[in-house]
Amino acid sequence: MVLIRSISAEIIKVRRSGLIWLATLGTLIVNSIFAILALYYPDIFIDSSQYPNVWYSWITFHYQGILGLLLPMYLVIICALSINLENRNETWRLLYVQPVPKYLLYLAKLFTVTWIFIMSHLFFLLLLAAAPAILQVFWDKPTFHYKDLPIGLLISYFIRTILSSFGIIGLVFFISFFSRSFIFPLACGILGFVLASVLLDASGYPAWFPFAYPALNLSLKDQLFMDEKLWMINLYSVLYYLFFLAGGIYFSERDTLRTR
Amino acid sequence: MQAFEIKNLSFSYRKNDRFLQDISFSVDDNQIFGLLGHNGSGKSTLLKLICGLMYVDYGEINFYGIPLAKYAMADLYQKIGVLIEKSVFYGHLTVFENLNIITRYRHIGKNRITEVLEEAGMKNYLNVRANQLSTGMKQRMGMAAALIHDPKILILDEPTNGLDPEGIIEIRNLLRYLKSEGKTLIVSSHILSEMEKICDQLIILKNGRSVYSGSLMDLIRNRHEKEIKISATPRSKMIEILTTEGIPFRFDNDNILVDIEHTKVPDLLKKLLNKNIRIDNVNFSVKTLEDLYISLN
Repeated sequence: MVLIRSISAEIIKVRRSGLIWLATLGTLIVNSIFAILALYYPDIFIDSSQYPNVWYSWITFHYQGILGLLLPMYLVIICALSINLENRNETWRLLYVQPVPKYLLYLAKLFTVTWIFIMSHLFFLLLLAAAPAILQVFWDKPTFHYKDLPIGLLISYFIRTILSSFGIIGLVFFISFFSRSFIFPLACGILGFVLASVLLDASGYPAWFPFAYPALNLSLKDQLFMDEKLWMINLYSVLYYLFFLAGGIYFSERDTLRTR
Repeated sequence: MQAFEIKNLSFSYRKNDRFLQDISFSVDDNQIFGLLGHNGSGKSTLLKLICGLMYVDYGEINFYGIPLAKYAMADLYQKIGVLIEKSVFYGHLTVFENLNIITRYRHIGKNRITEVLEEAGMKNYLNVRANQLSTGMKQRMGMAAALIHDPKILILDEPTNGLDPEGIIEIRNLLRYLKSEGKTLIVSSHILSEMEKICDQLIILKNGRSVYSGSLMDLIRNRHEKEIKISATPRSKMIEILTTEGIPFRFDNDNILVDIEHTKVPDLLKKLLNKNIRIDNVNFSVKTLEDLYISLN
């Protein structure tokens, strides 16, 4: 009950904040860029030679566009922003005198960030599915048929993306919460992407490195069902999330204003 | 009953650098307890320790007889309302939204927001964004946030900071009203004249040490030295009488400053008149809390 109340307080806080603008406008801008690119370079996005159903090509290219860099970067920024909201306003001293255990404040913030990410990704999918209807106005012949929309593939991508992002969210949120800095978690995030790229090039399957998970979800298999390797990395991702969640609970209870 | 009891408290931000040293005092129920000291004397740090926002290095803090270290903090914050250092809020949200956040944490109805804003004198600011408020208004909002759950104990750090004279009077009256409602208030300030007007008990801090702790009345009774300035003619005759009576005195331009107890003044004046000394002027000057603060070491 206290957790639900704390989450509702977090939801009020993020109203009109940079976090919400990033989640909504940011997603809209990314989808718009893809739509504009599809308008000028339709062959790349609608590759009918590789995929008999153009939707497969359209969805895969969208995910290829975000999973490598944009999504991990977005996750790092939303985690850092949610904590920066308290750092910038110096509101830790307001939060820490509320009759709420500190670990619940940590959980409420983490769950809110996770929820915002899930909602913004749903928004991304909605825009992804809606964009062809607008693009059709500019194309000569009917390209997309909504009756062929592969709902199963969309759901599969959605679940895999969410699960594979949990590890990054858990880790970066933990760093943001305890570092008291906006820049430090961003720097860790950038270092994470670079390392993920290097590791992906070198070994192709860095199953222990959470920053590589979104990209692995794309490179290992872009079909409807997850194979064993995908299950494993998504399981690791959730375990990373739970591990840092437990760490956050432990350390946040010991946090005082001396460090804030 | 004692709300807070602080025993031999010491605290340091860095090793080998004692910021607060051996502080002891107690705060009784239904009193306004003042925490006096210049900027950097350790008032805010002491209040943070009392609130459990930081942990003490040495010593003990008891809240109604129970060590703070053993107290469930969530329970403590149900009983106390806190305003530390300055009023802090989410600048992009309105006054209402900011207080609504606190009602969520505290499980209080929204209708309390308008009530408490009225108490704090800012009922017309409900829909104003917090970052558009003046310093004084932010301070009132901080008071409203501390009062929203109607706590028994209020811990207020410099509540009159940034307020105009009218605002200071309003907050002073509010503090007195809260005391009359049976609440216990711990108020810190560096404005000594302000504290003199509202406090029952106080502690005076200087460089992290307590230089006085006790009731304000005792301080006034024992340490509020009064100087009596007498202008009389002929002066030489008056000096002669003071010398024979063994009354200490010193010169201040044309006047003579006499150091005697307040109650003995009428007798002295009678003696002077009996010796045909014309008394031109008698002036009492009372040392303020500010004078005392400067003289305390």
